[in-house]
Amino acid sequence: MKFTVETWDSDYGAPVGPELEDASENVDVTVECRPEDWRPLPPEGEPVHDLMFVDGVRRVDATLWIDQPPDFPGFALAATYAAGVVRCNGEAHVQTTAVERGLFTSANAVDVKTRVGDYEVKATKGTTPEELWLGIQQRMGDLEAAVARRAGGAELLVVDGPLSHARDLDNAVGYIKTQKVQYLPLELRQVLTSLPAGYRTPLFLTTSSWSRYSWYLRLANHAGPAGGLVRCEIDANIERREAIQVANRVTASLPRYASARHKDPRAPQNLYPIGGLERELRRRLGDKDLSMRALRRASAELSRLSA
Amino acid sequence: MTVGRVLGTRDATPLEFWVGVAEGEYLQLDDVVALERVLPTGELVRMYGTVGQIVARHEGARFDSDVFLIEDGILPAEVTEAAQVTATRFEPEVFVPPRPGQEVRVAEGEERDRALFFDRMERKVPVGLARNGEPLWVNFEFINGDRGAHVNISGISGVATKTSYATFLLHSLFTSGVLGKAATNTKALIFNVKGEDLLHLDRVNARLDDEQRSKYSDMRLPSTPFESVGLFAPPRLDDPKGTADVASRSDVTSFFWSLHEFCVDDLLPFLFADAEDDRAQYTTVVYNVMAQLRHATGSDTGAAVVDGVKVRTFRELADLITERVQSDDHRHTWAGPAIGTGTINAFVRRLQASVRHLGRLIRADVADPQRHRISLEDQVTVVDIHNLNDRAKRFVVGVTLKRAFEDKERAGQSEELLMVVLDELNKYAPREGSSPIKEILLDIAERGRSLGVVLVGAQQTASEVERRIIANSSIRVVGRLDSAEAAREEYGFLPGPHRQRATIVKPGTMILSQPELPVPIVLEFPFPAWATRASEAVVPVDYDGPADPFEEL
Repeated sequence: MKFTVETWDSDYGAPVGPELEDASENVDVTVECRPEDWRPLPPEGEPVHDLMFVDGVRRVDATLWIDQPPDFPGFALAATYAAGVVRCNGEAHVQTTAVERGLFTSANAVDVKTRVGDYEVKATKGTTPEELWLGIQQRMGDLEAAVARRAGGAELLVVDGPLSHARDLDNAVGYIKTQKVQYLPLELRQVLTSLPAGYRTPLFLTTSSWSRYSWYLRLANHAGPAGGLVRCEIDANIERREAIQVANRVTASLPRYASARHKDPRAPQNLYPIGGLERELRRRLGDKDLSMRALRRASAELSRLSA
Repeated sequence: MTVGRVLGTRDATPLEFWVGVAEGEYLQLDDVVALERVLPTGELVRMYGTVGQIVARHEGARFDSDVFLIEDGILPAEVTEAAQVTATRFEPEVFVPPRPGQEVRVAEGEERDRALFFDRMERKVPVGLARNGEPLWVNFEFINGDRGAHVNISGISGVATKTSYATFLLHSLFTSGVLGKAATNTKALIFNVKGEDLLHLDRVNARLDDEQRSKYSDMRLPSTPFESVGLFAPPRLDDPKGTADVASRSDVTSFFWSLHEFCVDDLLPFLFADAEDDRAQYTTVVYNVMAQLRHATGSDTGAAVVDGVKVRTFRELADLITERVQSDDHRHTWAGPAIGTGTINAFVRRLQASVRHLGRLIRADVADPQRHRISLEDQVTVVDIHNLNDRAKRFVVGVTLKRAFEDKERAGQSEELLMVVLDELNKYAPREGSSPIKEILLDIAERGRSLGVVLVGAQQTASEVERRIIANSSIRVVGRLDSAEAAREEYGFLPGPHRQRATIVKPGTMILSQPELPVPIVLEFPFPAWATRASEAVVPVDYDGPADPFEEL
């Protein structure tokens, strides 16, 4: 028996889902060339010298039960999330950051004031943990878009994750580390698996709630089925030729930022600037135990007041 | 001017705390800082300290190689600087820690003086300049004997400029006005141990430039050489005239002792003053012979009549003593009862060996021997011993110190100080063993304080000098130290970073510790305004020596 050890730390799962959802039906693979001409494309042109990377982090500080007698108490998550921008233009520096706290629930709740900050109510669709998590994810995405907007323009704006929140930003590129969907038809997958490091696939167009140009890029040679693979996407509201130029620029620029295996548990997909930004943002989230204690104290004070 | 804030990520204690240096600001070692804390009672506590160490780091980097990623603009990180501050003073003395986050400012002017206790010193002597050009002071009460006395200077020779600093201290004492009325009768006795370096103290240093002169004026000191200097050097070997053995100038008085003085002033033990002599059996012989010599009578030329025999040279005296201790008739009284032949021979061997070196210092062939006595008439008296061999050096130092100390003891005037500058202290007061010179130096160290005798001792390695001498020195100064030496317990007064720095300080920089200040201060002292070697000396125009100083050679 032969096997391969995935490069990613198992705590983070794998960069490719075990069973990919097939979405090849809604894909147009003729954007850049005819399907029979598909082959790995080498990097073209100069890397850009002014990039911004946008990312966010989130943390659930505590699970709350909101009293709503006579009914069973409502489920809520008190979370802290942050977003920031790293600008790499000769030097890498964290340009803007923002931290917010939220009380995610569908129950009838009011803002909770604590010593570490105020948890504002953020209404969610439902009350299941998945729905609450989705709520946090969305708010964090909004915050990412907000800080990116505040950071001003750059030649390239790399948004960690799908582009959905930041489609309207100039030069924005979605950077997807984990592959859960199979976009390419079976006959073209050979091109994907045979991509050399630094090469990309031709562009393809996918449409769900919005249309985007997308391509795969291999950052570096690493073990595993998705060794060093990422997918990038840009909004399809631009000219095809312009989209190809963007893809070339991204392909020429990103491999430089790929992380080394011993420095990041999600190497090489988790780029250095994003890894650094995440550490900085986690630091800005503050101490979890302190937040937990502040919430407990707030709860105790409210109980005393109502008694 | 706010320079940073107290850190909360490291322990802040009343004795030591860390300051995060704000963006765009900087702190350097030895900077003096101040901050305030308001207590819950409303009382304001002012805290002062000096920077002992500064740390700069990349925040956000986890691996050593991250530095390259950061510099290549790939990984975001911040450079932070944090300074370790050692507290020097609290006003009032409420020892509370500073609170993390509190603003810290650089203390300058009056505030700096308060931080370093200079405001409390009623009589203070400038001892050098800080990095920022402000003068640094020492409390004179710790020099003159009121609360302490003695200065000890350690450092590698050549780089540490120990003697230069000792002479600078003397200059500062004499010219700063701190002595007041006692200035006229305060004297210094300097032993010159290296070259003819200190024989030009009264001459302007040709290499002194305006920049150095301004350093003197920053300390409100004149940039002038010593005004009143008496120079003494040993006579040349085999020179019947007894001319001073000095090549670089001709107006130096030669010094020696008359045979009569040698006999009646009990100078014999100083011939046997190394540690090896102390352990030997013949010490008894030395003291018995000394007692016999005491009965000698003298003549005008300094010759002595010992036991009925007239001796005119040291050789004659040595031969006479040899004969007396060896002859069956006299051995009992001269050497002492029940002394073995071996012991007597050992004594004789040493006595005879010293003749060659001491012959020029103990004599009776020059007219008017009184003129060749080392006298402390001038403000500074330099006694040159550099070209004497070790036994002769010990003899000169021992006898001169003994005389000076006894004179001072008799005068009983402690207000007018006698400053004794002695380099190579490890030779005269070694840690192990005992000798007549060591006894005198210990006496000065322990009793000199009340008699107004101040020892300015210097050595390469304090670890080789008698502990009690170092322990009795209130002011301790360190120049460049050997790294193994710097680690020794004798330098316990230096905190870690200062010890490390002592191994790299450049000439002209010294680290000084004084009792009032809990941390040593790092100072720079100006280039000497007086010549420290013949080549630097500006010879006065009205020079009245021979046109060719080498004429007589």
